[in-house]
Amino acid sequence: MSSRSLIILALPLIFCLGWGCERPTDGPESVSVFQQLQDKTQSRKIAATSYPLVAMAGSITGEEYEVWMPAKADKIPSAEEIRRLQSSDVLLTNGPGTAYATWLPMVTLDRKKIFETTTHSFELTDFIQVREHKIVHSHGGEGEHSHFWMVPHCWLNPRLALLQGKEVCDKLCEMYPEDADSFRANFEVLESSLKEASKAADACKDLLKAKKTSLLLSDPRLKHFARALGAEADCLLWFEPEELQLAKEHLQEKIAQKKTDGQSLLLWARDPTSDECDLVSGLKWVQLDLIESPDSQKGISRRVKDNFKLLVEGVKASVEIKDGSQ
Amino acid sequence: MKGLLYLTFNYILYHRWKTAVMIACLFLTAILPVTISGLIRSFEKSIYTRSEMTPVVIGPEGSALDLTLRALYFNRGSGEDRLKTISMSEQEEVLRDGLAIAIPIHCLYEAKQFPIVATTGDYFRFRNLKIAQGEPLAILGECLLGADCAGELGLVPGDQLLSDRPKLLDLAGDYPLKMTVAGVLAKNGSPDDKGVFVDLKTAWIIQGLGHGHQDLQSPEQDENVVRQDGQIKALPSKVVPYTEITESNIESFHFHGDTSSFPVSAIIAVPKDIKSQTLLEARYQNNDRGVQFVRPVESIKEMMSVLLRVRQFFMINTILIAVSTLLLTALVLLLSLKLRHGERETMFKLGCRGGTIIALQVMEMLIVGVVATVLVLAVSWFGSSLAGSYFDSWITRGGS
Repeated sequence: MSSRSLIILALPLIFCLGWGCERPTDGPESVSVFQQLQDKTQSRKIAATSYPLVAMAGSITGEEYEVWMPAKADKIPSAEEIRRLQSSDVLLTNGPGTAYATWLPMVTLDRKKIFETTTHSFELTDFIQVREHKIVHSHGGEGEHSHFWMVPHCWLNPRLALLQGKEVCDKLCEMYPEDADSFRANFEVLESSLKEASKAADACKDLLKAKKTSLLLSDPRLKHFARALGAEADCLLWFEPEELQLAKEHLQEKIAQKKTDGQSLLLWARDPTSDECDLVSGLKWVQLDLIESPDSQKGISRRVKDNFKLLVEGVKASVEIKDGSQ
Repeated sequence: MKGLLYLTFNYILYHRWKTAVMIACLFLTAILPVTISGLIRSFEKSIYTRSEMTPVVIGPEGSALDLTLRALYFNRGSGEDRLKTISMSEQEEVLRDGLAIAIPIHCLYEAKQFPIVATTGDYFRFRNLKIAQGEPLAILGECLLGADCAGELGLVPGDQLLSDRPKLLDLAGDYPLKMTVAGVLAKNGSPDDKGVFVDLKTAWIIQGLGHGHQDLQSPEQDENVVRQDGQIKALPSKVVPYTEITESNIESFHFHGDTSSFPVSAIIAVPKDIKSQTLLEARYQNNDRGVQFVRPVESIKEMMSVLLRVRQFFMINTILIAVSTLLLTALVLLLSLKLRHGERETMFKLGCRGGTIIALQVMEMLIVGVVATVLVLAVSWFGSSLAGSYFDSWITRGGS
């Protein structure tokens, strides 16, 4: 029998043996899978959901890191922005109770990458809840109801802004240990300027007390600012100009209440429209900065501090008008 | 040698029916045990590979095997057990102290009878699933389709897919969700090929834990409502029998309650090392939260041990049949040799050696044996390779 014939006859046997010896392939060890899933290839890209967090993270990291936020904080990011969020190392956000980016639950993001800056550092009393009057609806067994709204603009209170800044610094130091020393040094600068803003808030608080001035807020977004002054100020609950009629009734009611004790100062969160100006004519008002968008001229702590300066000027001017009229 | 082969082939061709019957006898005797053995091996390979890749599953108390099949194969099963869930907060328990990575799985719903699997991005990395077409999940209401699912439904990115109603006649039950196909996963030869993957929040919307609101006061709704005496009523004919998340209504979607208390079917835990796995297991011993810790390999081994016992009985039967077939074949050979006595004598007279005559007989038997073996192996291999994906699908559908 030739060797070729032997090979032809042996092949099926070899195939049979090989097939018979086949065993289920072993899956990868769980250790390596764990490492693979834990492996964080850092892109030095930091995302945030609000401008103050971008500003704080930027002032802590310096220019070597890319710190960014979606173009519109109150709208669902574009598909491109969502992909950029998904590829960022971390997403800094306020956290429950001060949720600013309402789009966050609508977007598919890695939960591990989301860092809430208010969850661990804030006390329960640091949160402010207001009843949202806008949407009254009914579903399920709850009957007609509206949802509560938690005020997210905690950065207007320098004490809370400092707590957030500390959380951001600690998180970034943990993520990028090689740059932790420079981060801490940068944070010290931010910390001292926010402490200055805190002192400005205290001075302002004393002035309000001395001048017997009470505050009225155009909308609840300024409530954290008012609380920095030790005041639980009334707000007029209007966000949009179309709610003017509601605001008018509310304002008249509030002014009638305030007339009995000292003077009132109305704090605006944005440029008032002409209708709104008519509505508040005769009442001294100050427009404050909500610090929601960047300002190339000023940093975050300067803007927090400037709000108190504006208020001091407003109080002084209001007192002068009152004295003049007398 | 050439002459030997020439003579044997001509003999086989001349007695083709006799040879065919001998090949058929050997083929039919061998095909059943070899194919069944191959199928069991294929089943074992399929089920063990996936279970070995999944170190730990945490889920509601009950059958460990059911939980394993639910987490690994998205098996919906039947009865009350399939609706059992655990709280999403168990994820934090798994993640605590960095003992393991937790991957939640929610698989209570179907779309066109394919399982809707809600999970997180870690699942895709864990199973090494890549996107072949389209984009990853980005917003609520989007889904990623497994390769087989997309192929069978003929869907591509941008198309829409409606989730099935859990109960056809339960009109007050969970509302179906019209999902948008964001992408299609590359085929990876696993039950993932038949999945419809969504974000956990999308599954919770299907479950009714989250919802959106329509602003009926807006002029855009004029054709859908009747405004009468200061009241607004939706026109029944304009009420769509499903939920759809669109650019215009996505911002109105919200969840009632804390999402960390929302349900998931199971959590796949990937421990850091054996020590972490042991510590994690200790957390689930005698817990009063109604949660169990399961090692999928052990559950599968238990199931396979029953299957292997059945196979042992079957193999004994096969051996007996094989012995009887070999005896019958030997008898056929002896009878054949008797019949060919005259032929051998003629060859001897023509000058052929005795060894050559024996070689001729052996060569004929070898050819018959080889042809039968090749046929058996070919059919068995074909059956086993087809069975791989069938088994995954069969387990996913709960063995029905």
